[in-house]
Amino acid sequence: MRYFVIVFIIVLSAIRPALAAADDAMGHQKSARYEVSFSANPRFPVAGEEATFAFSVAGGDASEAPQVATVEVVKIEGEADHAEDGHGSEPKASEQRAEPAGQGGEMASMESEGQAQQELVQVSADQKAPGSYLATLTFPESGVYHVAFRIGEENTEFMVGVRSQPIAWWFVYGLGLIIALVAGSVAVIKTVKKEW
Amino acid sequence: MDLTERTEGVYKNLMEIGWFKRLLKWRGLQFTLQFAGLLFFLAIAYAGLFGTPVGRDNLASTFTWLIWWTLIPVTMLVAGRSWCLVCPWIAPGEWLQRLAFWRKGKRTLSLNLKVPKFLRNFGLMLTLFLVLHWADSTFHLAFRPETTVYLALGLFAFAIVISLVFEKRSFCKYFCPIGAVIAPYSFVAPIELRNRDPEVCQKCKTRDCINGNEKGYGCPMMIFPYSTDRNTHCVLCTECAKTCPNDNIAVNIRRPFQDTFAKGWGFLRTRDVSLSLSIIVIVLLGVIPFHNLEMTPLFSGIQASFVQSLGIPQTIVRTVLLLMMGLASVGVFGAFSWLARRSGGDTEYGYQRLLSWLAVTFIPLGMSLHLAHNYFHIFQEGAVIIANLSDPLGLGWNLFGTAGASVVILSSNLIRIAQFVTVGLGLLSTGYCLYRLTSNMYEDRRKAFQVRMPMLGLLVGMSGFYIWVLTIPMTMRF
Repeated sequence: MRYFVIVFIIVLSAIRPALAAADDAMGHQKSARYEVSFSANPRFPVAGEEATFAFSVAGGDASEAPQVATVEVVKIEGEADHAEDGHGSEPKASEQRAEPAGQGGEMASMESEGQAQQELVQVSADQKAPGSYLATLTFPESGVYHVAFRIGEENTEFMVGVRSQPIAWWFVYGLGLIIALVAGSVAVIKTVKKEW
Repeated sequence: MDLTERTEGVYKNLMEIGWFKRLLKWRGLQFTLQFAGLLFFLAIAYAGLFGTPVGRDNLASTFTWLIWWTLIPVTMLVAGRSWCLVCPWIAPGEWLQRLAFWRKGKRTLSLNLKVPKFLRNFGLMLTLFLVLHWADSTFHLAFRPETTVYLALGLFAFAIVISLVFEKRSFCKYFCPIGAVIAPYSFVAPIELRNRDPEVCQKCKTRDCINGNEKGYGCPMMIFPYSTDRNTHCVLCTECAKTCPNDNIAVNIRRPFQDTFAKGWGFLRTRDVSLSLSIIVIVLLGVIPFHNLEMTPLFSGIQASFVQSLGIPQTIVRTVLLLMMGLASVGVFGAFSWLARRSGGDTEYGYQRLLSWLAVTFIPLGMSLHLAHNYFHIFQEGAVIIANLSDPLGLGWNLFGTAGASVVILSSNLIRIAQFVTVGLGLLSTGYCLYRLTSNMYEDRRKAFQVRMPMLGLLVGMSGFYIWVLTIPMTMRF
């Protein structure tokens, strides 16, 4: 036990700086003028549910005029292409594409198979570069998406994984319940039969 | 009965090494290994449920499908069913069943029923293995960390329920889907657990190895170490080494492939080598190249053309092709075995026995393709695990400074060469096993030669097919 505690402390002290360095940001990218941090809430969006993307822009000149910020989302991997070519190793753009969002709270729409869907992307109003930009998005399918954030002429890119569904706790609890019921039944049978 | 024959091909009994013997007799050995395995499994499950849904960035996917799934045949090549010693799946079921972790308990929380007779073979294992394989390729489990975890948890629950209802390790013996591969592959292992001196066992009155005593449990796989002469069911739990009152259990380093041709208690009685086990081997001979083909553009093209021309869903096309490949393998192997029997004029063993024994000699060939297929997974895709270790959940961590690392372990050309060499070794090994088996079976050398020849033709043909399959560029998963 003593050795276990010592090993645990050594491992913890080794990884602590790395964990402390990690923050909520899901990626940092640099363009020529800006440094952009990307985070999503929830961290791993669920297909069909709303997710908020935050882009924190640093660098540049704080007094500069508001910039046009856009978010473009392209599906590069997921169920659709796996189903098509077996193991889907070839990343390819899917139909989902967020149109460039306008400035100052304008809405952008996501298109799917040529049909305009509900407006999905919103860039918050009165933004300046640098600053924080928010976009709200609903992904129709699970998979891996490529998120391109453009501000002015600058471009940064991130990846985001979208879950097909939230964690199926009902499944986990269901398995636990089945095990408990079977174990309980066996215990009752053995008690009645006195065959422990 | 020739008792001295059973030491043939044995190089070293590891139980003669003091510390090794003490380790194997230590009751905490299996618990420690299983507990470590269970903790690791829980960590993997956590990563799968709470980490990124992107398969290649999540340790649950990469470890399960790149490391564990590909290294399982390697463990069998080196140390038989040693995985079963560590396996965390059966651990909670067994602990619950024994109501003890490592100590010898006196009570049991299990109905201890016997598995119905019609299930006491490898049929269900083969079916479950094929279902697992089918699910992997149809639902692309490698890309889905959460689904991988749900599947593993489902197997956990299945193992626990089976342990609560049926006796001992019935799950491992008749229900484990991985067992369909583990049981035949363990034949080639250069390690075995056997009795040291058969005469001592013969005179033993207590048979503690099967009944158990205060030092340990009777064999959980319900095999009798006295008469065991194949690795088929031995999970190396070492309970027999703990309970034997005569210290008559040996862990031998032996000649590889021994189980495929050696004379012994089971030889030519097809007891350990049942028809169902042989059918597993034959089906694997077809399913393994199919699995490789599935990852090629050629297969995608064939599949797409079927989908287009017949207008049926892709899943059905894939399922039918998988079943057809397995059936074709059984048909071709059955035809060559029939030919071998006819050409040798065999009247001693009968078709079923001959087929059963000839099938197990092809285990090295099938295993060689399995290993060769995995080279691309482990040596090219496998490099992703280096980055994953620093960021197992895909949360942007960099624990060991390797996050985002892009490493090439072996170049494609070197992997290709290694694949061809491996299949070549598989061909030679199966040729050797065929030679030894037929020589052991027939005293008449001419007859042995005549039985051998058609099978050698099949061996060369299958090896050529495997080499061709490996020359088709494979699509990487991660």
